[in-house]
Amino acid sequence: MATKPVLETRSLTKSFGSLLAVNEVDYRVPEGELCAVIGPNGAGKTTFFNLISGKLEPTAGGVFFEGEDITGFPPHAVVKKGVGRSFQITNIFPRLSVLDNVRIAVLARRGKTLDMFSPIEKHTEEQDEALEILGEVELEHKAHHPTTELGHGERRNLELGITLALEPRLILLDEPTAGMSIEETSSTIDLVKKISHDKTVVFTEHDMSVVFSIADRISVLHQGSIIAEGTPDEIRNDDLVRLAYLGEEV
Amino acid sequence: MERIPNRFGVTVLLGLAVLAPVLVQNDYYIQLCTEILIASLLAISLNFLIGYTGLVSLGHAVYLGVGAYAFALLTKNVYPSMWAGLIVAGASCALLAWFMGVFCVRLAGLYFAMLTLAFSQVVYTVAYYWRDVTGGDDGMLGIPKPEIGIPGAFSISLESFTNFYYFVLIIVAVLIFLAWKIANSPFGRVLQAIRENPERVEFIGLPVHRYKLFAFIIAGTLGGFAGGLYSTFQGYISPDLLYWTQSGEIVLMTILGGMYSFLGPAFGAGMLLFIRDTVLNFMEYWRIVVGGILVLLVLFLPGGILGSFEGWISRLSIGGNDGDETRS
Repeated sequence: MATKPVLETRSLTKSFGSLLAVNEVDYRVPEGELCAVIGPNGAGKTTFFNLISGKLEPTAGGVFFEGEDITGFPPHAVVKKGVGRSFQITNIFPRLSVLDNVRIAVLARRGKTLDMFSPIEKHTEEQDEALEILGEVELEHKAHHPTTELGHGERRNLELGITLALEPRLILLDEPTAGMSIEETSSTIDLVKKISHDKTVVFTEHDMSVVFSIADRISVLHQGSIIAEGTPDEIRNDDLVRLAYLGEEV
Repeated sequence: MERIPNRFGVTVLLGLAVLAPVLVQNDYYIQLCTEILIASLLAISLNFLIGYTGLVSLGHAVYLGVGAYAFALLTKNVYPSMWAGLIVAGASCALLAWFMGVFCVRLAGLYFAMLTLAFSQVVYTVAYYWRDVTGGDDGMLGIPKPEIGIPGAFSISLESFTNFYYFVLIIVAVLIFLAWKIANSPFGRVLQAIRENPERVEFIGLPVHRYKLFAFIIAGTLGGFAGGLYSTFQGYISPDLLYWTQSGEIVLMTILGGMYSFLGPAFGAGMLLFIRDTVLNFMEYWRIVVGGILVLLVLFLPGGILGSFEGWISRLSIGGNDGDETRS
């Protein structure tokens, strides 16, 4: 490995009772790459993300971000280190305006959220930045609308916008195109590619054509363990993967 | 979308409040208006938890009671000063809220509600049985209305109903204004975000527990000031102030007026007390009327009375320009 890994897990393990959801996973993400984690339903992808992002505490093993041990950090501390995350189920603030959804994240990153006495509108720098981010995710024209007026794809984009507002150096995307129409999927994929130009991205995805067309590296999770890792070509030709997962699809 | 009371509405409201004693010309109604002001502050303080942070507290009477007892104990036994009494009322509730909050904010939903209820009942029991200090179920009598002013220079007596009304109006207006500033600050918006989706707030890098605790302390402190004012207003307090039904009444005020509207709870407080006084002239069971209104509200106007009204107004005014206006 040439570059130092941005993210590394060592023997990362999580068990729920007798179920080993994630089993001694050693995983390394080199800087700047767009990495996919794939696997059938129940393979442990979301649990794996929850362990990295601090939502769950591992049973054993460790998580290292830029060389620093962040095992067992609560989610807000992991975010402060520079790891942003989006969710499989759209996770936004429904009764706030579109602008406020992103503005809150910008204010949080800049440490302005303990300001109790100045009106939120007076923070114009943060507002401008939030509008800029809304532009990136193509929602600028809806900034002052309630989120209830957004379509499904737009809500996914808004969620991505919230995550981008944190300026993470590593972004975890859990099924960014889940439930999207074909047009929405292709625009979100373009967005993910754009983001990955200057950030390290790890994503899970069920749509294999998406995975094989954009990922630099693919890791295959099966019953809690990584059974194969490599470039899309290597994975496509891996017998074990074909047997365990891809089946007739590739 | 959050609703911010507009300038026109606030001006009218403040004008009415200032003119109220002139308009009603009747000591009884001046007293009622004073009580409504205090209850408004109390309901708005609770709404920091319910409407803003999404935490339904069933123990808010604890601040009314503790603030009231703190004021009474200080002004009767230690030093009869209005300002010292109010500051001690607020500060004691801030400390109490801090202590209770450390435990409560770790919970959500029903468990949060139950723990706040349990804490308030513990304090009620203490007030009830600790006769030497609180007078037990006899309560405390003869709580003074100390005059305000600068010693040696001038002083204003608050014994007249009108003077006392204006004193309460100023204190309540200042505290509500402060609450409004907080509600519309970045911090206030974070509270709303916590109400909407606490998990996501954690994932934008903010420690949700700590923010909930701050909200809990702010609500408790404002509630404590209301308790102090109530103490000197009535001149008599009893453990009933701390009882859980009292907490329920504050929740009712909040829901009646509308918890997603900043001034909604104040409106609800006014309504509840007005109904109480009006119906009590005819029959004892005024709560039946309040209960009936509440049922209708929840079914047909779930946003509360002021909340729904503001909703109509904003829809009317936004209708023309596609809602694309920037508030400033």
